[in-house]
Amino acid sequence: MVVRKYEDELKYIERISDYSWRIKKGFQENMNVEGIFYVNKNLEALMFEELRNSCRSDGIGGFLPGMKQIANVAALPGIVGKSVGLPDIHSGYGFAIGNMAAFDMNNPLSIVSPGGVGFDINCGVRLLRTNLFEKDVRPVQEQLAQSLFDHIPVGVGSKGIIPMNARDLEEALEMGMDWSLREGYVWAEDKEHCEEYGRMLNADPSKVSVRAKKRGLPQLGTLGAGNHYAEIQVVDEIYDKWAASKMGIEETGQVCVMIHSGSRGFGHQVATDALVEMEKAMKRDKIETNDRQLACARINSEEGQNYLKAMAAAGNFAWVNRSSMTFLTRQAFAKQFNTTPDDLDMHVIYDVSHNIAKIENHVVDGKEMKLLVHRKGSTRAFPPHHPSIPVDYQLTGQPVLVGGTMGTCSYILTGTEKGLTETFGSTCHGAGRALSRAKSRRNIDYLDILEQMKTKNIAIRVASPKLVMEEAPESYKNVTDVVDTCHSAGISKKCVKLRPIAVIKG
Amino acid sequence: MLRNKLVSLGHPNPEVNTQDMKSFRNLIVWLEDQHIRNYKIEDRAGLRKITSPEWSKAFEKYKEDLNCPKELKTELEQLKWILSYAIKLEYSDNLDKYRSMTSEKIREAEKSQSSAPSVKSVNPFDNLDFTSPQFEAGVRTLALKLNVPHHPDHLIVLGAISRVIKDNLNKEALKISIPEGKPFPIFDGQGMNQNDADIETASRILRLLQVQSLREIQTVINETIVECQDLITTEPKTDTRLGKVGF
Repeated sequence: MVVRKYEDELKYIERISDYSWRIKKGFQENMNVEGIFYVNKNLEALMFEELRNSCRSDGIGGFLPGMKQIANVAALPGIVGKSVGLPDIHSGYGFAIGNMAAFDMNNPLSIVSPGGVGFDINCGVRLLRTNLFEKDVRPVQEQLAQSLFDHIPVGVGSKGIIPMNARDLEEALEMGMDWSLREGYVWAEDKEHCEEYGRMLNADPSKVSVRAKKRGLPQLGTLGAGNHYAEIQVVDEIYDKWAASKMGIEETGQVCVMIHSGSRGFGHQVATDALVEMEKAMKRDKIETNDRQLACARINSEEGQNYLKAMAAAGNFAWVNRSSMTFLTRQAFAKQFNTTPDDLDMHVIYDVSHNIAKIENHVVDGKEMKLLVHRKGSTRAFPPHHPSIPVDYQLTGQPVLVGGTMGTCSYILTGTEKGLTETFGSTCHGAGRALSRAKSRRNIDYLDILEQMKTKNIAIRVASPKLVMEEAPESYKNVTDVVDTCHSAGISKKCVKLRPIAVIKG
Repeated sequence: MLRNKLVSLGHPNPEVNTQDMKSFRNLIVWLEDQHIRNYKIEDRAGLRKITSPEWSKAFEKYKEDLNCPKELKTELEQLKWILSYAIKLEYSDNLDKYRSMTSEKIREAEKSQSSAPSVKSVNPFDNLDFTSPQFEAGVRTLALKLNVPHHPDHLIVLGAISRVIKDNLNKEALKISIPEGKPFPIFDGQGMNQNDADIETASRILRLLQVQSLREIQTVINETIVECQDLITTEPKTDTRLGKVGF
């Protein structure tokens, strides 16, 4: 790794606009393309401070700073366009979280990297709407929070209440949401409003290790821990009335349910298994990267294909998981209000994946190319009329669900044409961590957090209160800054703002 | 067989009882009169006197004149022969008419008759002349009333009219009030990259129609999924005993 003084490093970073910066070639070795990152004034300060700190420590310490990670990804074989950093970017394993990169499928040297997808494969956000309003829910807020908590097991080591045997799991891995449909857990319309229609067709459960399956089996229908949550939210502000009404959101005060979860231990094991396999493949194929954490394999190699098939199976696992929680949420609401989910109009507005690699066609330099697009902590945001988005959103653009942090607000954005050309149709995914988990634990007292929720009149249920401070709003960037940057840069458009009234956490 | 032969010769009562002397004699007279015509009309007097005891004599002579084989002893056998003879005459008189009638063809004709019973059309449109000037004028007037744009081919205009009526003027559609507010800004946003303004407009309109038809397809898909769910899906299961909250 190149070690320079902070002032010298800055020579490689150049402002493009009020909301974007270019990382020039040479910032890290072997960069094939330039890097770009999107930040506003507030987020900019965090980014540069991170870089300065790493210069001081002479490269010793935890993860590399986000800017360096963007540049290292730009040095991977087969990358096209730019290595893109989104406003919520923060350091992660190999790839920064909030980094997207696309690789040319027709270049035999192009790679796929598990680090570019993340450990929680197909982690994503699903939003359900209801026809209830804040005034209907406020009086039973605590009961509803408790009911959700009872239905959806949370926390590390939690186990789901949907009975599954090994054969069910195999089928679920292959079929994704089609399995949930067949078993009657979800509605036909749910599938329509889900990325990839809730099923990766190239999934191959035989490429998944027995260990991963063992870990995954009892975990279906559980939320997990970390930053995952289920929240009852109310519509706080509508920026684009027309697009919102297409999603079934008519007025402020309307109640929605947001579920943020992924593939649990299953996806983690798939990623871990792949990293081990890929280290061997790198040696054999003599693939050089700037960072050991950027383990990868050629897309067309056996290891690359195995990973893509196993990753797709983990993607399906995550969809079945979110679908199971959709079912449980509907049950909880129906019981509380003594009616049916149908009568509560509990439709899925949309379901996004923000840790995944997908094959997509994009126009690069005026030429259509087939690309493997890695989005890690980045959400797909396709514009109106894109063939891959559901028919109901053909005119508005794809809904982008951006989950905030515990107790802060969340957003719905829509995809734009500018986003498609500038960032391969990608945008932010959430608030993005500002303090490391360890630092959060040291600096914040969990009792303060619970008190804070109380004053905001938010019902909260947590499995392990002591881990709550890791997820405190103070540990994260301000989600409004993140979303405003995406909106101002034009890579997606603000549509609806939501605020929580009840939180279920691991 | 006897009956079939009588039917084919057009006898008014093919079920005739040949055991009855009177009926038998009548039948012989009928065959001579209608089909065989071996005698001149005045010479048939003997045969016509069916009640006369002389009739049998006349019949003997008639058989002789027809060259009916002497080996045929019973009246029934003789009748059968005379019948066949009559049919033979009928056939050779109208050779062209009957030559093409093979048993296969007849069977086919019978089949097609039974599977496609000839239904008399009750649809008044079947007899309309769609190209007549009156018809075209009617279509043009209707188009004017419904604001359907002009097309040189009035049948295409008629197609458009039928869609307007089907989609917008059906009972369900008439119940829905016309939505208020701004119409969809079809000319804003990403275009279709056409240089010609008219083609651009047309493609944007087509794109919008495509969204509409996609919605219809998606609805059919959803309905199909629901039908399949009704067929194969049992109640979704949960078992709260399995649940475990982590730490």
